[in-house]
This record gives sequence, structure tokens and C-alpha cells, in this order.
Amino acid sequence: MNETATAPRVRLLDSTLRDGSHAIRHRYTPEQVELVAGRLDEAGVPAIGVGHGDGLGAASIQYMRSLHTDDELLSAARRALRSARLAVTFQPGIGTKRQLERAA
Amino acid sequence: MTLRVAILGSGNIGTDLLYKVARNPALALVGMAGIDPASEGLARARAGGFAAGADGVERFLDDHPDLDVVFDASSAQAHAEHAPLLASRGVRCIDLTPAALGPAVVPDVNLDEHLDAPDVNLVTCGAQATVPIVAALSAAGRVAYAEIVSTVASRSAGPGTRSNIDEFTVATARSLETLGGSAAGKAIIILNPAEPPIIMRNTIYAEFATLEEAVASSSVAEAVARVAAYVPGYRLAAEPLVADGMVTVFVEVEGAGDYLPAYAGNLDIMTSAAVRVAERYAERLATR
Repeated sequence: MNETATAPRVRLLDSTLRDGSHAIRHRYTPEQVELVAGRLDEAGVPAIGVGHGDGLGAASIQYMRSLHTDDELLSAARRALRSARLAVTFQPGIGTKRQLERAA
Repeated sequence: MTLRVAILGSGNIGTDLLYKVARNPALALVGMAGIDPASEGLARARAGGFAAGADGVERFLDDHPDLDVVFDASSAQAHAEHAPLLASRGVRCIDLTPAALGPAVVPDVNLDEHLDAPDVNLVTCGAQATVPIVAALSAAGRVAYAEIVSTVASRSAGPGTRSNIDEFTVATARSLETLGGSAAGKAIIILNPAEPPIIMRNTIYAEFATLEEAVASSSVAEAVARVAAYVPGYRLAAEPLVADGMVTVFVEVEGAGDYLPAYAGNLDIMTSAAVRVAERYAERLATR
């Protein structure tokens, strides 16, 4: 921990498969998620965010529907990950604790 | 005939109820029971000349054996303890907590179905604001999916609301189906931190399998008028949008400013709905 005082450690969380989904109207397919997550994992990215751009449970008229459910996209990412950790975005009032537990 | 009523809970909701009940000619307020002797709610009850009990609900009920109805504005956990005490004394309860022990009631939609229930639950502010609209739309066509977004001022959301966010979204969504008549429902709540605080705003989206557009628009206006009869600050924020088999309705709720500030329409719609339920009980007794 001492080294963080002098040289802050940067830890990457790639959000292409979560925040990036806004740009394509939440149309990612499980195949695309598996491919991109796998390559990010190989490249050594430590954490990879996946799912609807506004987080778990956000697929709605308000936040736009997803082509695939959070479950489908998270499962696809899990198939591809070797060392990277899977990350999700969660906003109380949109997603529920139950959805968060399902994703865990 | 007037009903003898009391309020359980001396927090924001209980204290707002104090003012609404005290001025309602169909209700005779006996007093308020709380657990904090220093609470502002109990002080205001005392100042108004009403009983103010700080020694717990059981003691209060023993001291006032002639109550007809109580409003429970405590907490879901406390309501579960109060329910058997009330039932054993034959006191009916209008529950404003998320306990959901009794049937869900939205006055405009199903009040008369549960006039004999010993305990009725008012679901959530989001349900009170949006279920009447979804029910009206369900009468105009077959609603396949209803989604609501309730936005409330951050300052109007106390610790109870914040620790029960999931209960809010789950119970509200369920009520869109069971009371609103939609085949599927979803609810979203947003706490808006803007200053000055905003009033409660609700967006209701309804997707139809079949739809009579003209009927939908007029049924929404009628529902808004009916709810406004017991929640004066309830109104359309814009005309309903009807396009591509979907109707979008915008309603806002401004509070009466009794105890809670006027922006807290989300709390006012709960206390107003509760008073409407009690008033209906009194009307019914009068016609018997």
C-alpha cells in the first residue's frame, strides 16, 4: 500500500460492453460480448463491465430496451473470461437487489 | 356519523395526517401515538388539543378504547406488531407503511372492494399516482405492458424510503398488474437532488395490444379529475401522447403544504389517499 502514496496505481475497468451499448441502442449480441470480453481478457484488462448501459434492470421504455437480457449478456461474458473480473453497473430505483444477486 | 380515529407514528407522514384528519368533518381525531416523547409530531398533536401518547401503541389503545380507525404511519416492522393489537380490539387500520399485510388499495380504483377489510395497505406513492391512470387505460384497451417512472425530490425521501427502494419498485410494479390491469408492469424511482426541490412527477407508459385512441385520452382526463377530488395537487403535466400503440401520460403531484412542504407531493398523495379511505368508511356507516 505504501507505493500508492508515491505512484497511484491505475486499475482499468473497460466499459465498452456496458456504457458502449448506448451508442448501438443496446443491441449487443451474446456472440459479440463473448468475443470482445475474451479479447479484453487476453489483453490483461482486469475488469470488464457488461450489460445495459444504464445498469442492471434498466431495459425499459424509459432507458431503452435491450436486444438481449442482462442474464444473456452476462452469461456470454462469463464464458469468455479467464482472469478478468466481470463488472456490472447498478442503480437503486432501477435495478433491484435480487437482480444484483443474480448477476453475482 | 363521524369516525373516531387516531394516528400511529409521529414522523413526517403522521404529522401531515394530523392536519388533514383534524379538518375533515367526517373524522373525529382522538390523538397520536408515538415512541419519541420529544417528537415534533406529538408536540403539535398536544398543542392542537389532542391526546399525545409516547408510551407505545398498546398503552395508547388501552387508554383510548373507543377508536374506530387508526392510520398507521410508523414503519413496516412496527405495523406487523400493531396489526394484532388492533385486530384484537376491533380497530380497523389504514396502513401507510410498506408492510402490505392487508389488501392493496388505491381509492380511485378499488376502494369499495375492501370496505370490510380490517387492514388495508396503501402500497406506495408511485402506485397511488399511476395505478388510476393505468386502470383507466385498461378500460380503454388491453394494456400489455405498463411502465412508470416516479421522480421525487431527494429531500422528500427519508431513511424509510431509501431503505425500501426495492420494495417500492417491486410493490408498485405488481400493483400496475393487479390493480391497473396491465399484463406486465415495471416501476422505476428517481430521487432528484435539485434545489429548490421539485414536486413529484410521474411518467406512465402503456403499450396496448388493442387501443381506442380517443377513448384512452378521455379516460385519462376523467381519472385525473377523480383523483384530484381527493388529492387536490394531482394534475396532468402535459396532454397524453398517443402514438404507435403506446400512450404516454405525465402527471405531477403538488402537496397541500399542511406539514410537509408543497414539493413533497409524493408524501401528500399517501396521506390524502389515507384520509379518503377513512372518509369512505364514514360515508358508508352514515348510509347504513
